Amino acid sequence: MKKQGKSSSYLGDVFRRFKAHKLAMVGLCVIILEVLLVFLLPMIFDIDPYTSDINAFGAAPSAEHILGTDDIGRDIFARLIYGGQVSLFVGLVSTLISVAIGVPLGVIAGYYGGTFETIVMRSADVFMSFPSIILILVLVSVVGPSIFTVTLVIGIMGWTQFARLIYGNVLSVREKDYVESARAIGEKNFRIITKYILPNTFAPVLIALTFSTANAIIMESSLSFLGMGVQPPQASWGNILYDAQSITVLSQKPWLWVPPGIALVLTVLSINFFGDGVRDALDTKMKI
Amino acid sequence: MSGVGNILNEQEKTGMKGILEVKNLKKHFVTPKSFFNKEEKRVRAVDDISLFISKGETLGLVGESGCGKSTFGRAVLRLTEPTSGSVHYNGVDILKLNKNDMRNMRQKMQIIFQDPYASLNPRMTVLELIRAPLDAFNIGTEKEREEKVIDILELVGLDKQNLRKYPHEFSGGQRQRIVIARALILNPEFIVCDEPVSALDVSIQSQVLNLMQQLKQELNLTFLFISHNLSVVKHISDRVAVMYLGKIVEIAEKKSLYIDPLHPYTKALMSSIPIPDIDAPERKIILTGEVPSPLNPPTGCRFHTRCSHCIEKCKVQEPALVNVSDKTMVACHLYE
Repeated sequence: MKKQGKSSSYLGDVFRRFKAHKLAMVGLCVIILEVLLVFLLPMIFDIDPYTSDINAFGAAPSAEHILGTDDIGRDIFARLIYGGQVSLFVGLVSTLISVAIGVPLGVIAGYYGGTFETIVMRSADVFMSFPSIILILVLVSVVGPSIFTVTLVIGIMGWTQFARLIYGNVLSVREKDYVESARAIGEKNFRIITKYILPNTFAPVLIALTFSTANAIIMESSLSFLGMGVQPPQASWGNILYDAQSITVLSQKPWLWVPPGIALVLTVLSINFFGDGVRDALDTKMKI
Repeated sequence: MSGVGNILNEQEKTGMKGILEVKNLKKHFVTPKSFFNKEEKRVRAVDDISLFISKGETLGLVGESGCGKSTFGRAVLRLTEPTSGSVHYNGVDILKLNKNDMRNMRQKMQIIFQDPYASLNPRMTVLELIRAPLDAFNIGTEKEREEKVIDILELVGLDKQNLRKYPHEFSGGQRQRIVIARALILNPEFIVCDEPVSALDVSIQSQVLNLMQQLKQELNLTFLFISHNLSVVKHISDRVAVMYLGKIVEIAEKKSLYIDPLHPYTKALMSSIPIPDIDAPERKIILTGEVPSPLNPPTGCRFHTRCSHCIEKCKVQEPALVNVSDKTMVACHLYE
């Protein structure tokens, strides 16, 4: 049973396996780099995503505007950086909201069962049977579009996947002998859930977390692209793309849509690779 | 904790001999009626079992797979809620205790599970695992708890260097020692051992068995020892109960049961123990057929479908478990 290597603790093993996963490491580096760029750069340099440069409307990349300017003369690079703040904020915060709603509901439904289980899981089914983009469109148009409503709505709509995921896991883990033995030694339900059930069900949630973040970023972009997300003049990767819809822009001014497109794809891919790595690292049966 | 104190006083008043007395215990698993399934299905896993265990003795419970042994062990500790009956522990009917009193009662009644690979939380260290019962009942300070864990670890023959290790770093035998340590740390009086050595290698089985027996003597424990392994039960038990399809068919002192079994089922079981002697005469009683389903047990005596001594009465009337001598009880019409 003894594994090779010095560190024999569970977390040590996880960390070692993660480091051995090259794509995941690349993904992690890209994410860290992006976060640093997006949040630190505006503090160090004076970047302005709002002011038009009257000398350059829709100008191609140049020394002054390294990624060019849009049709009303705003610097694309600056908009990309500020848009990144929005995208990463929406991605992370809405996922946290989904987890905060979905995980407790799923755990309680799975552990206690009964009426609560029926209510939670059936309402999850109802939530999932609606096309979420349409529901979000309706909700946003009622509440009014802004970063916070978009984040909140994406977050609330996402609870079902976490609830279902953790519910399924709790159902299998609660039948394990170590949970029964926990009851036999007099552990209370709260401690059984926090010390015995959650640590043994949380790995898939960590992975879903990464995918959900990527999804939320895409969702925000789609909403902004449809004009229901972040409102101009504030930038987000989605509404930079939205501004670049016309066929002339698409065919003749690629600097308007290629950079945000690449940023979006790169972020989502990196997060997905990171999630892959976490999944493999948490699997104690993987021998790397 | 005052609950346990009261209970002990009560025991002194009533002056009962058995530490544990089970009366008419039933555990039926019922599949609820539904739209498509009008007929209620009832698995009679434990069906009307009465027995007692005296303080300091080991009662072996044997029977083939699926006869309800484990369910009985769990029902006695209320790990599954029994359908009906009573379980008196030191004179207190634990089936009537509320949730909190029952939780306090668990300090005195513990269980050791069959599979040491499954009964230890893989995300906890040895220290956390064994300390968990102390944490649960908030006994002692952090430091006292750790000292207690080290003491008990020594008692079960594990080094204190292992404190920070995780279960996956141990062999089956070592894990079972950890499980035993965890069961003992609250100083229980009564322990249900649910096939504690069946998952272990034969070479390790005797080590763990001897450890358990030694601990039992030192700490004055009472065991309900559940196993399908007749040799193991013979090694460790004082008295043995034989179970068949949810019922006890025979209870007797170990010696008399192994030398002179009465019930036809017990006879068949005993004849199946291999004798390590090539000259020993072959005297196996081979049972025909399979164990009937506890969903739909046979009428009358449950064993009559496979019994070579079956008479008409066996098919219609269920035999009661009655004393045939001072310490032997058997449920068979042949001995009435």
